[in-house]
Amino acid sequence: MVYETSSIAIAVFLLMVAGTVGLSFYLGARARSSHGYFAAGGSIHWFVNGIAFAGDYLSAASFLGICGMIAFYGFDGFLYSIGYLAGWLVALLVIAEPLKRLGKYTFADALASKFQSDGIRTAAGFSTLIVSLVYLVPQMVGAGALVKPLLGLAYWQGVALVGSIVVVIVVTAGMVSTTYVQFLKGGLLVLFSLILTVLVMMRGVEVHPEGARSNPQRITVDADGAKYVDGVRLGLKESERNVAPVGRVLEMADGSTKTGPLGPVGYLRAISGSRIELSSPAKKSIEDGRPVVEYAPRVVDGRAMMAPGNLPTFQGIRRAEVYPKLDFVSLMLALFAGTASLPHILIRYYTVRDQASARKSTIVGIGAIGFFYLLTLYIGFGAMVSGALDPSDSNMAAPLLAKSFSELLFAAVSAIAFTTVLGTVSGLIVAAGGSVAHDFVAGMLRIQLNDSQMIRVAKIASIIIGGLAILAGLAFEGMNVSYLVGWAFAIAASANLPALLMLLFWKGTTKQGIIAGVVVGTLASLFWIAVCPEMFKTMYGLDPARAWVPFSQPGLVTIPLSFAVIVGVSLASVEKIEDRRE
Amino acid sequence: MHHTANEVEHEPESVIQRRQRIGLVLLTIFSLAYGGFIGLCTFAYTWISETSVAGVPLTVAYGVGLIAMSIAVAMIYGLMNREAK
Repeated sequence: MVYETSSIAIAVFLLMVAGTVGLSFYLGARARSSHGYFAAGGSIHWFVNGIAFAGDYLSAASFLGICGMIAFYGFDGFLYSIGYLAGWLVALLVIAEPLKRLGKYTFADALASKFQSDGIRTAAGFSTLIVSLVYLVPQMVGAGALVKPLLGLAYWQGVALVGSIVVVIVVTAGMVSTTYVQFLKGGLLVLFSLILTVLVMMRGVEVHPEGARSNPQRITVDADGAKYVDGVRLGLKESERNVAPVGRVLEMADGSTKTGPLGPVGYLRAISGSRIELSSPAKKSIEDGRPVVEYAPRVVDGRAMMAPGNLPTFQGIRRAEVYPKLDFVSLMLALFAGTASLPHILIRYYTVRDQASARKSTIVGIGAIGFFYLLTLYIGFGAMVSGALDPSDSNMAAPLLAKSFSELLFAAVSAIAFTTVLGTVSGLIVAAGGSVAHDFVAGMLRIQLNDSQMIRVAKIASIIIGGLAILAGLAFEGMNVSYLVGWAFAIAASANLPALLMLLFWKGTTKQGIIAGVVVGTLASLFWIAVCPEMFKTMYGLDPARAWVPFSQPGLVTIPLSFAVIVGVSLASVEKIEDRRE
Repeated sequence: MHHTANEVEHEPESVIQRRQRIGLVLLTIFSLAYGGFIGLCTFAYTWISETSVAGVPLTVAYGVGLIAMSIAVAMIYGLMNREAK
C-alpha cells in the first residue's frame, strides 16, 4: 500500500524524532565518568527508572508486532502480551534486589560476585553479547519494515538509518540520556495507546456500508521493481491504483448496524458477536516470470478470532500431534523466563540508588507495561474492524488505525513507533558495549583501564556491535519478527536465568557449575535454533521435515538442560575438590 | 573507576530471607495461574475457546485476568515489603 502523508504529519514526525535525539545529546554531554556513562551514577529516581523499563522493554515487536498480530489473527497476538508481562514477575520477585545487591555495572558482576571468578565473568559476558546480538536482529528487521512505508525508503536504507542513528546516540550519550529517552518514549507510548483505545471505544463497532468485497487483490512486481495492483500501476494518482484497505464488519449479533460508544467489556462482546471480513495470508506465485502476491478476502467469526490458534505459527495447538503443541509451550516458557535475563533490562537495575529503588522501579514498570498490554487488545481489535488495514503489512495496523482518526495522530504514533525502535536498540547496544569493556577487557583480559579508556572501549565496541546489527538485520529480512524475539528470549532464559537462580537459591552451586550452565545454555539454544524446522524452511530453503530437532522453540529443552548442567557440574566439582583434600 | 552514588543497603539476613520467601510464594501462585492458562490453551483448546464469562470468551477473560493479576501481585509484594522494613 502507498501511504499519503500531509506535510504537517511529516513535520510532527521529524520534530518528535529530532526532540528525542536532541535530548539524548544534551543529557549525554553530562555523563563524564564511567559510572555515569554505564550506570547513570546510580542517580536515577525509581519512578523515572520504572517508566524507562517500559521504554526499554516495549519494543517495535511489542507495539507494532502485537497490535498487527491481533488485528489479523486475533487473540494469538495477545498471548505474546501475556507472556511478555508474566516474565516481569520473575524479575521482580526473585531477581531485582539480589542483582542490585551483588552487582555494579553488568549482569556478570552479580554472577561473579560470590566466587570473584574471571571465568564466570567471561562466560556471562559471552552470553550477554550473544543475547544482545540475537535480540538486535528482530529490532533491526522491524526497523527496516517500519521505515519502508513511513519514509518511503528501501528496506536496507531503513536498517542502515536506524543502525547509524542509534550508534551516534550511544557513542555521544550514555546511560543517563538513554534512561531519559526511554522514560519519554515509554510515557508517550502508554499515553498515545490510551488515547487510541479511548477513540476506538468512542467509535464503537459499525457495519461497513459497502458490505463484503468479493475479489482478491493481486499485486505484481515488474523486473524494474514497479508494482501493479490488478494490472494497474500502484500509486496515488488518478491513473494509478492503491491497495484497498481491509478489515470491515459485515454483520453484528443483534442485527444492528452501529453500536455507538462502548465500554471495555461491551466492546469485546460486540467484536465477539460480529462477522468480520479480513484478508487471507499472502499467496505467492510466479506468472510470466513475475512474482505475484494475492490477498483474498476471508470472512471470520469474531468469536473465533478470540480463540488461540489462528496465527500460522500457533496453528499447531489445534492439531492432535504433540510437537506443534510443545513448540507453543516452549515459546510461552521462554517469554516467562526470558524477561528477567535480558541484558538491557538487567543493567537498568544499576541506574538506581539501592535495592528498595530497584524493587519500586520494577513495580512501576510492571504497572506501565501491564497497562499498555491491556490496551494492545483494544488497539488490535479496533484495527481489525477499522476498515483501514493494509493487507500487505500487518506491522502498520496501529499507525493506520491512528490514521483512520486523524493525520496528526498517525504522525505522532508513527514517530513514537520509530523512537521505540531507537530506544530498544540503543539500550541493547549500551548493554553489549558495557559488557565488552567490563567483562572482557577489564575482567577476562585483566587490562587496567582508567575511566576515559573504559568509556572509549565501550564506544568502539558499540560501533562494531551496531555494524553487526545492521548486517544481521539485512540477512534476516522477511523473517517473522515475533518468532525472532521468541528465540532471543529462549537464549537469554537458557543462558542466564538458571545460573542466577541457582546462585541465589542453592548453596551447592560452584563456580564451575555456573560457567558450564551459562556456556551450555547459550550454545545449546543457539544450536537448537540453527537446526530447527523454522530455520530449514525460512533461511535454508529446505524441507522443514528434515530438520534435526522436532520443533523450533528451544526453551522447553534448553532451560531445564542448563539447570541440570549446573547441578551436575557443581556436584562433580565439589567431589573433585573433596577428593583432592583427602 | 569510582563507585560513588550506588548504595548497597546492609539489611539483616533475616529480612532478605523473608523477602525471598514472600517472592517465591507469590511467584509459585502466579506460575500456577500462568501454567494453567497455557495448559488449557494447548491441551483443552476446544473447551477454553467455547466457554464464556459474562459474554466475553474465557480466553480473553483469563488473559486479561492474568495481566491484572501480574499488576496486583507486584503491588502486594511492594506493600508486604514496606511493612517488613
